[in-house]
Amino acid sequence: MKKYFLIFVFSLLSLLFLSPLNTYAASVSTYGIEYCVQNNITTLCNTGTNGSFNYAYSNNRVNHISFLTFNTNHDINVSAGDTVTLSALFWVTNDTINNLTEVYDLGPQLYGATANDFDIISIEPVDMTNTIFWSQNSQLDYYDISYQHLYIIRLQAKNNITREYWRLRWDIDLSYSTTASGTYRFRVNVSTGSPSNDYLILQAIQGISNSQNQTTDAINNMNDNINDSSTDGANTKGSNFFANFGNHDNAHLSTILTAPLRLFSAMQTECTQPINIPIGFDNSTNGAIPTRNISIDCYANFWNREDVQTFRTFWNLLIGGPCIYGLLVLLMKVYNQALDPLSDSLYTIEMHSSSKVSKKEGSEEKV
Amino acid sequence: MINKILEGIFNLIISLVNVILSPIENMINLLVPSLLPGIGVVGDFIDYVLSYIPWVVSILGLTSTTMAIISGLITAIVMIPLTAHAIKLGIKWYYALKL
Repeated sequence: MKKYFLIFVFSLLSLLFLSPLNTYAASVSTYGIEYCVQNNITTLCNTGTNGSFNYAYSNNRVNHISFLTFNTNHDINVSAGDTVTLSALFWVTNDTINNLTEVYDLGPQLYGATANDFDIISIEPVDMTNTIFWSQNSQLDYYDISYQHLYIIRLQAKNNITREYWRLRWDIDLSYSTTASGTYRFRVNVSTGSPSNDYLILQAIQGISNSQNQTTDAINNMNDNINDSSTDGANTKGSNFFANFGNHDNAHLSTILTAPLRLFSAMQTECTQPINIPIGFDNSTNGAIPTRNISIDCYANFWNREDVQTFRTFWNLLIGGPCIYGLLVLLMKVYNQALDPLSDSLYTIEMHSSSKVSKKEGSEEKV
Repeated sequence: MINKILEGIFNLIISLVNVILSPIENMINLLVPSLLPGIGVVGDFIDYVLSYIPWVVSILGLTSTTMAIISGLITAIVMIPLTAHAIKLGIKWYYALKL
């Protein structure tokens, strides 16, 4: 029976070491320099027992502490690769505080530091609002804890930092009402050290994670490419195959091959400049400069005259009508040919004669 | 993936055209070097003749409406068989892949 009782007592003691109170006691075992600012008046907080700051208020009034700040004359000497650990606690103690109306806790920070200077290893906020840890007879002699907040922040100074000293700052905006004098305490402990093993392990894990993400992205890109049914690029490629077909490519043969198409294109081009026909050549320049040019204007000036419009209409019917009729006949012939499911013939523009090569059932014959 | 395959086919066609025509051009340059300027003169002559086509068309006095109808008919005559041929070719490929 005695054996089981001892085990029970030791179990209770173990739970005591695991409690947040134990964390708090370890973090603030050495006090930092404490400053308080109330209504923009800086006061050294180190006026009470154990460096605490005591501030008395009258009964039944709403009190407001604006930006209780720890930010003055406490610089940290930081070298590249060092770790910075901030453990800070703010709390209000009073046996008769009846209403804590508003608290804005912006958290501790290294004033002036940016993400380029430090990596945040961990932020461990411990909210202990309305939690009573100590009785009146505890070692710190506080009771009825109304609000307290604990932060432990670990930072890693990067290798490219250019400054060696950093200033601490913690801003808290607090509104409350009380019926008696209150006690407000704010303590910060700062320590620096070499890079922790946890940080190095975290960095290694982060590197593995980054590599894994890159591999995942590559696999996803490959899957996207496989599942992509778009053919826009191929269409552009096919269009460029003909668009980039130069007239003087392939030993100038392209000029001859594309002559029918360019003839068709030239037929649709409006005449805007008169043509110049060189007549005679100057022997002194080996024929490079003609002796004279005959310039003939476009006939648009003639055909656009008002007194010619009636004749132009009749002329268009006379010339254009047979041309269009012949083209329509040819179009219907080609159309009927295209509808033949057994025909693989392809109509092309020939320069010398109109011939078609048809291939039916594996045999070729000239038509 | 389909896009890359089709692009690869076009690249293959372009490469084949260049591979086939390059030896011919090199052979002409090597064996009959005077032929190349001759072909060039033919091409330049075609270009010179084609430069007079708009002036010739202006002599005919055809209106833009008439020319648009003629151009549209010629385009249809060329494009209808080409489109039908492409559709038949696609169907043929489909059956070939299906087998």
